[in-house]
This record gives sequence, structure tokens and C-alpha cells, in this order.
Amino acid sequence: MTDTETRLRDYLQAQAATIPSDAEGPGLDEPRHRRHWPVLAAAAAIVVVVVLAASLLTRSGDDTEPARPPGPPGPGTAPQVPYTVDTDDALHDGKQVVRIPKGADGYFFGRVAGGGWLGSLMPGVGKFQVGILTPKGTFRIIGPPRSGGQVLSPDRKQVALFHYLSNTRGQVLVFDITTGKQVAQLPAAPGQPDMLGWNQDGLWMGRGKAGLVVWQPATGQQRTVSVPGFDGAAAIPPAAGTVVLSAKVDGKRCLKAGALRDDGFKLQQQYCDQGPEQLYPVLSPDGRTMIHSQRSEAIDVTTGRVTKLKLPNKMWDTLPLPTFENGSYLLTLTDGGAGEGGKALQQLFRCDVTSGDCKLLVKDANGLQLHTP
Amino acid sequence: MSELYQQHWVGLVRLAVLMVDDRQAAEDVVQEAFAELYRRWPLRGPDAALGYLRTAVVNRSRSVLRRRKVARLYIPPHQAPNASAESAAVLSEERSQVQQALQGLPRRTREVLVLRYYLDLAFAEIAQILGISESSARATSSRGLAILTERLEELR
Repeated sequence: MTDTETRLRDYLQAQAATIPSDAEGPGLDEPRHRRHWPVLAAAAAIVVVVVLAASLLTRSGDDTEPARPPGPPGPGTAPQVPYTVDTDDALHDGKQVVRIPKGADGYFFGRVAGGGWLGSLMPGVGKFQVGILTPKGTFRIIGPPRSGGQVLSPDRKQVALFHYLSNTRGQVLVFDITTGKQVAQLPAAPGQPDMLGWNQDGLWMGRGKAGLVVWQPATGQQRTVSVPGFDGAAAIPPAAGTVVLSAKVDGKRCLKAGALRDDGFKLQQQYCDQGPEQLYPVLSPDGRTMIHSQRSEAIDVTTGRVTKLKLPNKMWDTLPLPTFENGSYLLTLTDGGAGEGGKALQQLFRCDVTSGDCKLLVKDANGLQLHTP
Repeated sequence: MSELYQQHWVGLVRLAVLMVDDRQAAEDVVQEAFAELYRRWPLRGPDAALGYLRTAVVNRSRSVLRRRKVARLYIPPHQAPNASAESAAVLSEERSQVQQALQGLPRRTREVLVLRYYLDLAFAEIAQILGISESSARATSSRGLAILTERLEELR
């Protein structure tokens, strides 16, 4: 267990203990009024009972899960990125539907060269390993046990991962996906870097107080990148030179779009606002449009033009993040308010980031997960 | 139903207070959750009822936070509700830092971390309560811990 986990558990236990074990609630009201229902209310109740009975007869009988599980999106509406739905243990990608083998985690980190998707095997508590879900539905292990944080190289032929040597120490390794052989490594060091992404400049890593580090595995060159206020999150498309970083500037939260140059990070566009939430940057694969999920806005990196996305509800502000299908179309889940049983209802939309127009693709998208293309 | 109330009221208020940081609001949330359960009673069994109550508590806590966010627009920051008197009294410096870092996390991330590290629920159970996929729960937890680690380092 890490220091953070220990401190978190300690805090939660202490905070919960502020409610004493012998505390008592005000009690439940007995439904005495039932005996005195007026005739109209009774008649209405009969209607409700009949409707409920009919409903129950057509349902599977799961009282705690009243919402219907979502099915895959219909023809013409399917996301053009890999996705999974809770109703089947399969990864959908275009016309491919691949069964996810037992023990494999249902979260994927991009298509690999030659076919397949980068994923993880999690067969039990404390066991995790990087691997490839093949189009045949098998899972091919890459790298040593206790590895995670995987990131694909821009050509999708290599994978960088973090190998835990202990709970507080580990090393970054790079493997060739075709041969499975290790091709590069960083010396073991304390702490776990946040593996942010890999583009033409190299593998971007957040190293806590040490800030941003970009490592080029092919040459072994490593450089520290100074971005004032950087607070940990980034969007680094593999094929664009532009990246977006989250930062705190003068008490505001900001999205900083820019590119790495010989003399450091060159800022192209900065977009700031006030708000307590952490920003999770999203950037189009061509590096031209960044998304501010908290405000449902698309910002042109070159001109700074802001396009409001016409969504009926708030964009989902944590994972799964909105995902670009291409330079123009963005897929996003929204918080559709409380559904049946008070459970949050997600809906899936496709938005044109140039016009802001959005189209509802899936009305009940609970359990639908978009994955990195 | 009364037995369920006796058995789980304290535990659910503790869960709610970790979500909303305010005892009175937490008690209201739990009371409403039981009222909601009462309207749907009986469920299949005590386990189903507990799952239902946890989901209801999380969802209603979310509503409290939404309302509070709106209220904050009109209340000077020093008056905004953020911590109960009890918690302020008993929390050490170390714990206050965790509280502060936790409060700055996105709502969903905080929910996942509370369910994981307070209730010790499996990701599958967390996913069921929050209406998200298991992999989302796992990824949110991992990302949340990473952010929490960074924030705690900043606060040191």
C-alpha cells in the first residue's frame, strides 16, 4: 500500500468516526395515512399497482438495478473508436467484435500496428500485467508482471510501461510489440511517474514536484520541460506535435496548448477560467482543437475561437473522457440527470467541434465505455 | 425495514459524511434514502436493500453538492460549508491535508475513492453503485490516487 493510500484510509476512518457508533436516526414514519386514503387516491393506487405488476412481469426481477442495461449503438450511430458495453464481454471496433478473455481488464489504450489493442491482464488482487488483445480474442503478454501505465509509441509498434520493483520504486521499460523484446529502459528510481503520452518528441512523464520530463527512448535523451503551474494532466496525441497541459495560473485553472521546441515549451494558446474541478485536457488527433469538458467548449488552438457544444446536459467530467473520432467529430458522454432509482443516466453524443452541433447517439449509455483509438 | 434502519443508519451516515463533509446534510441524505427505499419495499433481500441504499446515498450526496455549488455563488467563501465542526476539531494537520486534497477532486473520483478505501468495495461493486463500468471505476481510482499524491506533495 502506498503512502497516499495509507493516509487516505486513515483520514476516511477518522472522519467517519465523527459519527459515533451509538448515534441514532430520527426513525421512520409509519404509514398511518394509508387507512384514510380518499377514494380517488385509492383508485389511482390501483392503476399504479396494475402498471407496476405489468412492468414486473416483463422484467428480469432485479430490484436494485431497475434501469435497462444499454445495448450496442444502432447502425450508423456506432462510435468510430473502440468501445465496450456492459451487455457483452467484447471489444467493438468498426466491424470487429472481439471477445475479451477472462482476467483481461476491460480498458484499452490504443490500436497496435498489425492488429490488436493494448490492454491489461488483471487476474487477481495485486496482479497486473500489460498485454495485447489480439483480433482472435487471445491475450498476449508484453513485459514483466506488476507492470502498468502503458503508452503506445506514435508508430504503434512499441509500448512503454512502468514496472513496479516494489510499492515505492520502479522503472520505465520499452518493448517491441512484434518480438516482445525489451528495447529501452530508464534506470530504476523512487516513485511512479505519470505516463502521459508519447509523440514525436518522446515519452512525456509527470514526475510530481520534478515536473514534466520528456524521454526519447531511441536516443536515450531526457529533458525536463518547464511549464509554470502544470498540475498533472495532459493530452498528447501521437501524431500531432501539439499537446495540451492542465495548469493553475493566478488561482485560475487553465488549458495550455503548445509544442516542444529546442528552447522549451512554446505556448500557442491558453484558456483559463475559475473552478474547483481538476481539468482533464482533450485534444483532437490533428492537434487543432482542445476541449474544456467542464464548460462544454471546443477551443481552436490556432485562433483561440471558442465554440459552445450544443449539449442538453453537462459533459461527463471525469473518465471516460470525451474522445475524438477524427479532427472534426467528438464523442462525449453527458450526465443526463437521475434516471430510474436515482441512478445517474449517461447519454452518448457526437459533436461537430466546428459548428457545435451535437447528435444524440445512445439515449441510455450507462455502461458504454469509449477507448483510445 | 426497522431492523435495516437500526443496522445500517450509522454506517450510511458515515458514508454520506465522507461525501458531503457535513453531518446534518449527511443525516438528511440517509433519511431520504430510507424514505425512497420504503416506497420501493420490499426488495429481494437485505443485501439488495443495502446496495440500493448505498446507491441512493451517493446519488443524494451528489445533489447536496450540486446545491452547495450553486449556493457558493452567493455566499462569501469563508461562510461556505466545507467541513463539520466535529471534523475540524478532531482532524490533525495530516488529515486536514488529505481532506483538503480530497475536496479538490472531481466528484466522481472522490466517490470512487471513498467507496474503495472506506468501504473496501471491489471495483465491480463500485461500478454497480455508481452506474459506471468496472474498468472506469478502476481507472478513476488509479487516476484519483495519482492526483491525490500530487496534491499531498504540494501541501507538505
